[in-house]
Amino acid sequence: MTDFWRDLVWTAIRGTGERLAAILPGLLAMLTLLVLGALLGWMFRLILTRLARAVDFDRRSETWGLTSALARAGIRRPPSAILGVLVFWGIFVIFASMGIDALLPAAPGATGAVLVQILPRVLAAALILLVGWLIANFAGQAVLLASVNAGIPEARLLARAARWGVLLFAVATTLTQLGIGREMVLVAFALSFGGLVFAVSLAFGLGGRGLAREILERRLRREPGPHPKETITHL
Amino acid sequence: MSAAPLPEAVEGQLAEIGRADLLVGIPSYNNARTVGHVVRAAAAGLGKYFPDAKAVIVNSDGGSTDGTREIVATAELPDLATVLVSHPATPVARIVTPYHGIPGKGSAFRAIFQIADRLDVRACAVVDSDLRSITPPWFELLLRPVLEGHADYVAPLYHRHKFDGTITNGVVYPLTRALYGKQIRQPIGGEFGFSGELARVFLGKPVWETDVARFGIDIWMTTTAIAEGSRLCQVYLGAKIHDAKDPGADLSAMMTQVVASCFDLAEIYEPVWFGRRGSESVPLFGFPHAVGVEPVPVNVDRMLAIFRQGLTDLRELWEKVLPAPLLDALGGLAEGAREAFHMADALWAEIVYRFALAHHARVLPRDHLLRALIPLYLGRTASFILEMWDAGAEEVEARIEGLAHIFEETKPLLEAEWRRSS
Repeated sequence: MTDFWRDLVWTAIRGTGERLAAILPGLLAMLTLLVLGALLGWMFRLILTRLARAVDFDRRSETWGLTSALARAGIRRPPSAILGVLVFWGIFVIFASMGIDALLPAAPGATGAVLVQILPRVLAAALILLVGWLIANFAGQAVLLASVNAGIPEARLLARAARWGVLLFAVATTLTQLGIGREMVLVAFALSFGGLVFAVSLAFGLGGRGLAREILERRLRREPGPHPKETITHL
Repeated sequence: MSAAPLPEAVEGQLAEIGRADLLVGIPSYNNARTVGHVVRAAAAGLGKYFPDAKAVIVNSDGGSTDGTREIVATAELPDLATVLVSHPATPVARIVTPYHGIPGKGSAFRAIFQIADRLDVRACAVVDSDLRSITPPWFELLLRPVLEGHADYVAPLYHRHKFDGTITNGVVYPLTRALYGKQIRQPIGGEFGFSGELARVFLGKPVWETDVARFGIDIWMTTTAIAEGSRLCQVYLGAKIHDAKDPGADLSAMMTQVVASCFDLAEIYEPVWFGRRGSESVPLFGFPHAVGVEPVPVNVDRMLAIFRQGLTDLRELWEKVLPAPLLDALGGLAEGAREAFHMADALWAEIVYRFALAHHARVLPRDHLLRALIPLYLGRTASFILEMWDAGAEEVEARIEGLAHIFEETKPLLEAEWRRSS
């Protein structure tokens, strides 16, 4: 009885020890990779942030409208710092996935393989979204300025429509790139965009019937506009 | 820098002419209605005032489709016996050439400078091809000061309607004068005289693939002449009347082009203008006299409506350029009645300088920045028109001079902020 009890205890201890011995190198490897990832991430973050500041990335971002777009999204940090954070987490996630692979020797490289498979598409999608966002802000601003300078009272509405139109297109492209409900996104985008154009046409046709007629008549008959034409020479 | 090649036919003409004393350049694009008059005026002017000089008229055309080039090539010159006391020793040669490169007045000028360089001319004049008020004496006034060694660069001085040239009067003249310290009243006049040597300097500048080739060539030439230390003068040409067009239609393009050129040049020539205070007059040749000018209908209500709309719709953009107190001051302007609307000169000068600073600091995309200035410019123009509605020419001129003084007085603000944002 005593021997049996002793064997059970020793077997349990030996088994745990063996399991620990099997896991421990992987655990240590994971911890090492996590520390290495954090360290490398921190180093690259520092280098990239300084490099971005050296090439005046923050001021250029203001010009491109990135800073104001970030501010609208509630992000007040300078773009160079955001770039640093992104690089840090990118490197850290890569090392973390290697760490998980090291911890699970039964399926070596599984997490890394998934990451390698997904990462390019995620990066491409993020890039599409970022560029779409920048173009949307630029287009919105351009439409706003052109409309105000043309004296169109609905300038802000037009600017918002232009901005959201581009954003909608960018989001649809991003989702398609990620492979999320391709058909659904395509149909939703076609419906939204077609609906938007239809709504604008309908609104103009019904609400501004008189105006539409006046514009068409003036254009076709080359009649002068309702306002006296200036002949002021600005230059 | 390598020059763009000239067409073979032009090369042949240049070889035949050899060298010349004087050159008149006429850039054109679809100016069939007026270019014949300009060419005849040039030929008569050269024949009458410079009968002993070998002269060439160069038409640099941007691909006209209305027969402009054919008109220049075949324009019958005036019966010289009726307009000249003495006959010219050699008939005026004519070169008609399409220009290469970026479409625009700048590229047209580049071809003219190239020909001037090849012919080793002593003096050049350039005139717009849409002028209706141009007369033969203009060419004497533009060329004589250069030919006699009084000046390297001749700027025009016109008599214009009090509401004409509002970008010149409200932005370009006061800004150029305050920055570079020279009182050139029409820095973007369109008609200029300059030496062959200065034409070579212009030609050698690496700007022909930039926006200068497209637009802004006038202010670029004037500023370059000042910055290069050329001897300057102005000549009084009388009234300037263009061919009928709709100038209000492309205000955005004009504003963007001209003001952006001024701001770009301020970047290039910072060492020239920084720290310079006051301004000095530039010698004037010719005999200023009153002339009749065509009436100019203006739509002040439309200008004010765009200014007011800008205050509400563009506030977010303006906040990136203008400080809060200035924006508040602008907000106060919108509240009053139409007749009481008044934008003070000091306020306008600060607005222009703030936009120059925003351009320097790249706060917004360049095109957007300049377009954001338009409602403010229209507000200022409306204010000027309302104030000067019943004023005479002298009073208006005094008012413009007052604005130029304010620009000079406000310049330290520009300098202080400029270095901060560098």
